[in-house]
Amino acid sequence: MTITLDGAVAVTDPADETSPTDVAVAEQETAQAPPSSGPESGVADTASSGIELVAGYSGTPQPAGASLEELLARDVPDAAEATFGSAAEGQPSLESVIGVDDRIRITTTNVYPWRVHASLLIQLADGSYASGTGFFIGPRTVITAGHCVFVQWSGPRRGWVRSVTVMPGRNGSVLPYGSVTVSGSGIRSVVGWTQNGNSNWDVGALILPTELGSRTGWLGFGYYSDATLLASTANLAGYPGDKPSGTLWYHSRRLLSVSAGRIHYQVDTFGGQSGSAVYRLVDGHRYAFGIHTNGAAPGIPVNSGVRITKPIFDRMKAWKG
Amino acid sequence: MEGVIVGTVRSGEVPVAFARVMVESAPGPMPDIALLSGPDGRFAVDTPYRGRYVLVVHADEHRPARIGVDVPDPGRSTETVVELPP
Repeated sequence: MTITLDGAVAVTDPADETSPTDVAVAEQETAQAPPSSGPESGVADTASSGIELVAGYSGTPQPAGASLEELLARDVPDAAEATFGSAAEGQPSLESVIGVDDRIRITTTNVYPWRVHASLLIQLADGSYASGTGFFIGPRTVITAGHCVFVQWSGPRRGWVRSVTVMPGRNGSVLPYGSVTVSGSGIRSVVGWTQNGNSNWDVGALILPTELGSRTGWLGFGYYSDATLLASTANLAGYPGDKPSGTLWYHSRRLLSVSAGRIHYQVDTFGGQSGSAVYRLVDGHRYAFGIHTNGAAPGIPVNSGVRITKPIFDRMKAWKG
Repeated sequence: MEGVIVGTVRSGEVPVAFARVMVESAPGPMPDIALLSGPDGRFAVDTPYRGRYVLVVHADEHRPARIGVDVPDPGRSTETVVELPP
């Protein structure tokens, strides 16, 4: 059944009836949809350790012995605090940098896989703007966070966004693949997000009117067992708002924990990276297993995203077409 | 009932458009999205929780700013101004 709300579309499927506790992925159950580097030249090499091979980047070591439980007990500062330092209440604190910001800027954004990541300019229902990130999974399909397409908060911004402009491979003011604006029925989500506001279903899609993804290529995606995920390195590239406008940044770390519908990690992120792929490298191929949605919060000193479960995987396959 | 932090980003007396306004910390989970100020420098951050919000604001050709805003009642609007050093 298709429901039209404010000109956009929410798709109901069997997963809509599923409660969060019912979406556990059975051990060993795995399925993948393949990636494509696209026809254009330029494909980055990959490192053997499950991270991208980027000049000047050697990966961030996981804190020794750090588990989610230990981190919860440590009161770890969030990424912004680590960058700016702890400000006095209400006072800007701009000069101190505590800790190491080892995110690395990607300048070869016209090379696969970097060109599959897109900067998103989102016009909200009230006409104001926000920025996020998305990634191609097919010729016409860009995946992002549900809150980048449907705002849950009350007030004039609640509901479907007016439009999303997709800028793959953006590098500052340079748009190597131009831009495409999506609105109306090209904007998709699932009722688990639009009607229930359940963070396990905070996923959205943009169906482009052109096959721009055939030029950029796309990431594969899959759902995996807990054990497979916990042995994986989470790679994440996106467009953080604390860096120069429209620049792509990459970071990686081992996954910290998984639950039925969420994944938790200490990969550094910042506002603007909602909708980024959280992906693993398998034999040099890249498979998204999550979608970044949230930064750290009090009591939860890790970043997190939606886990691609079988129902979400099936929905993504349907969106891919 | 959710409220909102309504503010203006400015540098001196000049409003700063397309500044990226982000929630660094909040009393509960917040989406990792960047809100953009309008041509008049105005922005609005929804506040679903009671408590302290720390906003970080970046704009090209400006140094960033960081400001804390207390939201005693999440159902109301709270006004603030973010001054960006040049």
